[in-house]
Amino acid sequence: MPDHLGVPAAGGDAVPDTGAASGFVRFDQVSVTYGAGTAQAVPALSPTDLGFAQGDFICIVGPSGCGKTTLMQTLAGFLKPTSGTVSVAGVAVTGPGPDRGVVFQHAALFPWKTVAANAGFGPAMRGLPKAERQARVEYWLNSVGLWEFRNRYPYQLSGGMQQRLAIARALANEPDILLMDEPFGALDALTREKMQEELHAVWKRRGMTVLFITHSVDEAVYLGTDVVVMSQRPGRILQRIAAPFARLAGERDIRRIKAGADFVTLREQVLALIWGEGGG
Amino acid sequence: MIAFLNRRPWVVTLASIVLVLAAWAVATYTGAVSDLLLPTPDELWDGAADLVLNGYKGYSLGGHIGLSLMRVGLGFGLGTIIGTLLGLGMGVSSKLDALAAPYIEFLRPLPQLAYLVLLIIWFGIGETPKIVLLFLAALPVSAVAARDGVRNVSPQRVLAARSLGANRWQIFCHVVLPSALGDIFIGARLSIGIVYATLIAAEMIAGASGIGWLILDAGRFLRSDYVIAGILIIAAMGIALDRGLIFAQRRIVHWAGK
Repeated sequence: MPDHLGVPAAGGDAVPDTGAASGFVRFDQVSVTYGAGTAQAVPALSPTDLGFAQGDFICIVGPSGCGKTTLMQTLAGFLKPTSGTVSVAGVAVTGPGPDRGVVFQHAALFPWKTVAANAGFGPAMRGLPKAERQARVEYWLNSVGLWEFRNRYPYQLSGGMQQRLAIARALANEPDILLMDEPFGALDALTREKMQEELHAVWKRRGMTVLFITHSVDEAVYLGTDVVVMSQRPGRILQRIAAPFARLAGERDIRRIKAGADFVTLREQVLALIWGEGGG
Repeated sequence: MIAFLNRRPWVVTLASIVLVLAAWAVATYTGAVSDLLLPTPDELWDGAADLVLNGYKGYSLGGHIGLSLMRVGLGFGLGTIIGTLLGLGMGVSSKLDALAAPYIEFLRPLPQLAYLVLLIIWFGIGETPKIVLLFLAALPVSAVAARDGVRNVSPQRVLAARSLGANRWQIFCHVVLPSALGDIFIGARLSIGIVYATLIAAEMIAGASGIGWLILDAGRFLRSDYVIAGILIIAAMGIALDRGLIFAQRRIVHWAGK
């Protein structure tokens, strides 16, 4: 009988080795080919390995059509990889789920619901108690400065406010991972920098993991703990660069960071990578 | 002058109406057009007043209008409700679409008068064939509108809802259905137009009531004053029905186009 108890323990011992190497989020040889197996097959993403830890702010930057959105969609569960696997905390991703919140380039709000109902959509669908739902809506709408607009409809908000609501909607569900696909792409420069600061503040407060897609190198270098540079189609990862500025958020003003010599150097380094790839 | 009119288009509308009324008065009072074909303004007034006060052949004017509205209401109401439910199902399930589409596509372009005779053979000459005729006029239009509404739902909103933890039924209720409402209302306005146009045909089926029948019957006795009064009433009812739908649309689908 003691032998019987010993068996599972021995089997379990082999696991931690690969588990430690896998990271919190792990892309394992993930590739995507649109229309695979047909004459019109378009390779979008070359087999890619990428892993990151809980609390990381990963920015993926690259030229248009480089497969960065494709990569994100495999983690969101919107797109099944042609080969390879995506996993979160060791569990393979098979579809969308509330543990992975998504913010789209265009807010994708529900125009028939009020601001408050949009923000509380996730908790309501998941059947959280009413008091808990209301508390979350109030907290997150206050966080993004939209509490006083709670009874309005999305079409009564400006573009920047709509995007803030989309972020609040994703965060009110308290996901482990926040996936953002060029969320600030349609905003003017001033609103954009304000949103970058606000996003940093929320990320620090919540300690969540963020995967952020952008084609702005400036934005990627400022926001990310890591900047992942991708090549042109079919996309592959050219380099992963650690960036120190995300950790400074809240201590130093955004303009001072972006005007600093170290920021400019890193930004130019990333730009050179992208340009070098584009020229070759 | 042109700038003045551009700023006040209603002046042009008013002038156009006054001009037509004046031409009518001149043409009839001078005897250029026989009052058998076109009544003079005061003959029309007397005819309309007679209809209001004394009704027409067994029913008051309100009775005729009420019966017509009842037929339109039942035919349009049932046709739109059942057509919309069917269309929603067709939009969600390709199997149901494959099952129902041939009949919907067959019925939709078919002139209602083409199957009117068959309805009389099947249902006799009471209220049933009239309402079934209007029902069949409303059904395919509503079904196609609702199906297209479901198919036009933004895939990104569906993905957003799935990422927020909504299940299939919740996605249908909270995303697909409200998203399709705009198309459903456009379909309803289209269908009330068709139903209304079919009303006259429905009331041709033997019977002696309804505003459409009143016009047809008065025509047989060359009572052009009753005919024109009937046309004005039926036009006013049509405008009121359409405006009612527009009002409901603006209240319910308030986000559309914004």
